[in-house]
Parts: sequence; structure tokens; C-alpha cells
Amino acid sequence: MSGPAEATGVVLASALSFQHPDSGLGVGPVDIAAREGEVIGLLGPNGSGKSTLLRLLATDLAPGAGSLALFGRPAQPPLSGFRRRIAFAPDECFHPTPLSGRENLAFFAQLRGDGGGLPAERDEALEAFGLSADADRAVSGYSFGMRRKLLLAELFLGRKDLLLLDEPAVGLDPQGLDALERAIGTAAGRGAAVIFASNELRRLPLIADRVLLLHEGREVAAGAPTELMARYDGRTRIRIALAEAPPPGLQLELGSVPGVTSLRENGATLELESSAGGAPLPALLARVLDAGAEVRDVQLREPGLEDLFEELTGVELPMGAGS
Amino acid sequence: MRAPIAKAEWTLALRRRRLFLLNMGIPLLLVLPLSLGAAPPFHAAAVYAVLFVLFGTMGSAIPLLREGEDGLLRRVILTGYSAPRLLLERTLAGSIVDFLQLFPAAALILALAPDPGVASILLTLGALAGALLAANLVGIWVAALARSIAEGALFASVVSLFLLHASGVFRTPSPGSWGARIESAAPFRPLHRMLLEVVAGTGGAAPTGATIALLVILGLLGLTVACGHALGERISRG
Repeated sequence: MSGPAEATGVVLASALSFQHPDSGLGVGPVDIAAREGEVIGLLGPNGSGKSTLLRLLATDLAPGAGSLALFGRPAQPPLSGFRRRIAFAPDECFHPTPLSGRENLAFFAQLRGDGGGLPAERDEALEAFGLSADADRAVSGYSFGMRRKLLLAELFLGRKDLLLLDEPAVGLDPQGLDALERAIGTAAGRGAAVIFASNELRRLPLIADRVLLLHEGREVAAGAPTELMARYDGRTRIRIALAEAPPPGLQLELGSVPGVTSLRENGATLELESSAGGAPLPALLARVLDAGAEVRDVQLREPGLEDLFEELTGVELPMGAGS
Repeated sequence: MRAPIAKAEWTLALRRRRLFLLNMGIPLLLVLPLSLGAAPPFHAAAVYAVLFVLFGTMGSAIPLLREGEDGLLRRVILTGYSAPRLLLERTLAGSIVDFLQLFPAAALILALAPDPGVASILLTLGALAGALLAANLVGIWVAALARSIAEGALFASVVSLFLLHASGVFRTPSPGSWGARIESAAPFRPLHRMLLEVVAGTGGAAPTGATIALLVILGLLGLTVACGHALGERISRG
């Protein structure tokens, strides 16, 4: 993913790659660049290399090949100087659980060396993620979603220059997702680069300046979400599920309905694309019923990044929670 | 100077009250029958030394391995916090917590010893503190070598018993032999000698070679801090 020419500020990785010795899975070679205030989304199915790429950028893994520069310097040992400027949220929550949420916030803030923030700032971070009422309870009593929110509150409190978030939407309720979007916006607004990996395809990618679609460790598409979506401009997806396989000739009938640009039969399901939004739907249903077929379900949806991914790779990208 | 790791270690030890009380009560229960019975001083002192040293070594290695396996230690390392400082804080805080938990057992040994005297009491407690510091440092190296908690428990036992053997706990080497030379620098020797003298009722002076043993412990501390980055990386990767 070639970044803009001026993108030398925060992340500049070239032909970066890594293979896990046990599984052989990994990522790369991948190019990625992020400048100050930029939000980048890494999207792809499980095993596509998103988490590995984030771990490489967090200096958690040493690249097998390629080069990585962070904050304008090659990312080489000693790494603690780089790590102090990075906030990394792995896809799992690790907390000293006998400590309360507030104590965890202070503990990790002290480790990061940002002084723990003012008590008012910590309260604000807890409030932002809806944890104020439980702030003084031991984390051992927190639900998974609460631990995820605490992890995010800890990271955003740190005011680091590079935020790396692995599946930040996992476990979040709609309010948590709102808080996450606001926090990403605030962090980017003060100049931090934010790179997140997500299976959540309907909301988070839309706040990204750019997204990188990964498949089997390689980049398959990159660009601004609006640019990528433009490839699907006007191609609404219509899915009609029938009780049994469509009668002969129905496909031809439906294909001739004005606005229908493509039609695919998948068992008892008809998958169509329309250049006229939902307008052809009444005519389509009328012809299906005329042919004596029984309709079980009708779905009409605007295209998303998952459709682009499917077109590029032939692999259906499952939409994660919240999508 | 802030010491968030040491502070957290303290807070966690005090908050896990049941574990803290168990760690205090079990050594007491193990020491009680030996102190009240008529065990020969050489055997009693050996058992006490083994108990105290294993307590320190395992108490350091196993939590490190657990936190390495569950990812907490990795998260701490990735904040950019200095790994040598992390290990130093854990060692010092862990040694103090161990000392507090073993204090009742040590106090019982001293209380039931035949007329130990204030000097012997202070020297024994000082030797216990030094031995626990050494044991906690050994625990860090064990955690770096082991691949699992079970392996860590095994390695901690083997290394501790070897060092106890080298410290003269299980035998008396011939004067002037290599064994005697090694023993004079062994980190757990002062503890064993003080326990032996207190139990036998012959204590009163610091054991010979205590300064060398202290220097060895400080050397081990320096080596651990010097290798802290590599040790921290190794342990935190689980």
C-alpha cells in the first residue's frame, strides 16, 4: 500500500514480511505508510495477516524481510524508545485482574511513562467508555466487553503517536463502538496515526482515511473507502430465496427486467445486481410469482467492502459483529 | 522515583489475602513439627534451608511463567517499560513479600532455638533476606529457560537443590577441596550456616565467607539486570 509521498512521519514499511514458523501463516511482502493524523483500516478474513502486520508495526515481531521505519527512524533495537511512542491493543485483554479498572488505568499509564495522566483525565477516559460506575471494582469481575473497553480507555489515555488496534470493535456494544469512533477521531485530530485491523466492515472502515484489504498475507486492494466503494457505484445487491430451485426459464425472465445488470443462481437462491437500486424489485417478484415459485426471503442491500473483497479474491468475507 | 511494577506486586500480594495467608501458614506448618521435635540440628537446618530457598525460587519463576503464558508480561514489555527495571522491581518486591510470608516460620525457629541471642537472630534474618534475594534472581533465570509452568517447577527444584548442595546443605566437604572453595561462595551458605548454628545453639557470629556470598548475590543481581532485555523478551514470549 503505497502511501502519499509525504508519508514519512509515523510508519514507513517496505516489502515487510513475516512467516510464523509453526503455522507457515504470516504476512507480506506488504508496503504500508502512515502519516500523522491518518487513520488506516486493515481488513480481511481470519488468517489474512492483519494481526501479524500490527504486531510487526508494534515491534512485537521482528520482520523476516523488508524494512520498517517508525517516526522517521529504522525500527531496530533498542526498541523501548519506539514502544514508548506506540499504543498497541492486542486482540486479547491482559490485565492484572485483582486491580480495579481505575488502578489498571493508572498502572499502565505509569508503565507507558506518561505519568498516568491527571485523575480527571482518567475519569474522563473511563466515562468515555461507560466504565465510570465500575471503575473501582476489581477487573476480575468485569465482562469481556468491559475488559475490551478498559483496554481501549488505557490506550487512548496514553496520547501516543501511533495507535495500533487489533479488532477494537470486538465485544463492544453500540455505545462502545460510538466511543471508539470518537476516540479514534480525537487521536487522529491531535496528530496520532491510527491503524486498526477489523472484521467490522460496516462502520469502522468508513472512518478510515484509507483501507488495506488483505488476503493470505497479501494486499489485494487499497485506497480510500469511498474510492473503493465507487467501484460498486450503483450496483445494489438483491437476493431472492425461493422454496426450491427456480423453474426453467425464470433466469432469462428476470435478466430482462430493466436495471438488472447481473444474475446468478445459487441453489434455490437468486443473486442479482441492480444499477437502479431497489426499483426492479417489484417487477422481479411479479415474474417470480407468475412462474409459480414460492418466495421465502428477499434481501436488498447496498454494496460494501465485503463485496469488493469477494470480487477480488472469490472468498466471501464474513461480516463481523456490529456489521 | 516511581516503581509501578513493585507497587503492583505489593498491591497484588496484599489483595490476594487467601494466597498470602496460605503462603504464610504452610511454611509455619512445615517448620512446627521439626522445631518442636528432637530432629538433629544438621537435618533440621537442611530442611529449613530447602524450604526457604524453594519458596523463593518457585515464587519468582512460576508467576513470571504464568504471566508470560497469558500475555500480561508481553503487554507490559510492549509499553516500552525497561525490562531490566521490570525484573529488578519484581525481584526486590518479591523478596520482601517472601520475607514477610516466611517471617512467622523463621520467628518460630528462632523462638524455639536454644538461647539464640539478638545478634544470631538479626544475622539469621539478614541471611534469610539475602537467600531470598538470590532465590528470586535464580527464579528469573529458571523462567527464561523453561517453556511451561511444569518445566519451571522442575527446573526451579533442580537448580535450587543443586545450589543448596553447593552451599554445603547436604554434606560437609573436606577443607581445602574444590567443594569447600565453591561452598564458600555459594549464595545460600550463610542462611544454612546461621540456621545450623541457631538450631544447634552455637550461633553468635556471622558465618565465614558471608561477604563473598553477598558479593556473589550482588553479582547475580548485576548479571540479571545486564541481561534484562534478553531475559524479559524470552520470558514474555511465553
